[in-house]
Amino acid sequence: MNSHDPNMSPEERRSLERDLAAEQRLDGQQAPDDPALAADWRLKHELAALQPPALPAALRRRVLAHASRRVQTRWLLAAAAMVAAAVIITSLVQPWHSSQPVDRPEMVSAEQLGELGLALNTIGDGTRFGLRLAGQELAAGVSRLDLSPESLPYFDRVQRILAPAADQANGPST
Amino acid sequence: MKRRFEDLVDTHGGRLLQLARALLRRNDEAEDVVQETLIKLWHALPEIEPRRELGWLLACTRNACLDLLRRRQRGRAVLHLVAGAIAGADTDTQHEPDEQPDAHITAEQRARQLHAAIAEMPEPGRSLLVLRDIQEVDVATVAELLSLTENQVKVYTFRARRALRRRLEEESDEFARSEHVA
Repeated sequence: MNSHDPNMSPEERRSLERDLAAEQRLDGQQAPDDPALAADWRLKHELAALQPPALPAALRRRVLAHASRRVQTRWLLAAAAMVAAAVIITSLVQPWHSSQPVDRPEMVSAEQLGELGLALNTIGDGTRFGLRLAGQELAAGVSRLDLSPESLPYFDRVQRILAPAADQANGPST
Repeated sequence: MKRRFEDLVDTHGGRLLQLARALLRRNDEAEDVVQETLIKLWHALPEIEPRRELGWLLACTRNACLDLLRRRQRGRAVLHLVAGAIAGADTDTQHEPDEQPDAHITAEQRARQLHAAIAEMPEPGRSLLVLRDIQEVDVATVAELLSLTENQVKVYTFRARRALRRRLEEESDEFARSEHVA
C-alpha cells in the first residue's frame, strides 16, 4: 500500500494516511490524549505483555532427538562408505595372491599355444629385420670411417715411444 | 551446527507455538506444525543465513498453518454435519465456558480471552497481531514474511488491533448486559 498509488481513491488515501499516523502515535511511551487511541495504546501494551508459551519438553526432546539421530546416521553412512571402499580396493588388489603359491599347474590350450608361437615368430621376424637393417646402416657408416693411424688420439705420443725402439732395431743393421 | 540448532529451538520454539496456536486454535495441531517446522529447520540450517532464522521459522510455521487451515476448510462440508459437536471439541482451552469477560478475571484468564479473540480475527490481521504486538517482530521481517510493504504492515496492524478492541468491548458489553438482566 502506497499513499501515492494512482489507483487509490482520495478517501482511501486519507484513510491510509490517518491510520498510519495513528499507528505511529502508538509507538510513544505515553498514552495519547485521544480516548480511542489511548484504548488502542493500552491494548497494544497488554498484548506485548503476553508471554509466549514454553515449548513443551516432550516436543523439544523429539526435535532434538531427530537432530541427534541425523548426526549418528551421517557417521554411520560415512563408516559404511569407508568399509565398502576398503572391501572394493582389497578385492581388486588381492595382496594374498602374490604370496600364495599356485596350487595347480595352469593348463595351456592348443589355441593359446598357437597364439604364443605366432607372437614369438612375429618377434623373431621383427628382430631379424631390425638387425639386418641396423647392420646395413652400420656397414655404410663404417666404410666412411678414416682408419689411418694418424686419426687415432695420442698417436703422436705412441709414435714417439715406439720410434726409439724402431731406431735401435734399424741402427746396427746400417 | 547442533549447538546453533538447539539455541534456535530454545529461543524461538515458544513463539512459533504461540503463532501456530493463534492460527489453528488447536494445541495438538499447533505442536505438530512446530515440530515439523523445527525438523525442516534442522535440514535447511546450513543454507539459512544467521539472523534470518526467525523470518524463516515464522514463514515456515505460518505457511504450514495456512495449508492445514485450507485442508480443514476443504473438509468443512463433512464437518458441517457435526458442527454442533465439533464446535466444542475443535476449540481448546481458549473456548472454555469460564472465559467470559469479567472485571475481576485473572491475568491468565485475560490472556486466554485475548488469544481467543485474536484467533477469531481474519488474516492477515491475526498474524499481524501475534507477530507485531505480542512477539514484537520488527516491521521489515513481518513485511517480508507476509509479502506486504512496511506501511501496509503498520496500517493493517493498527486496523486489526482496533477491530480486536471493539470485539473485546462488545463482549464486555454483552456480558455486562447479561449480568444486569440476571
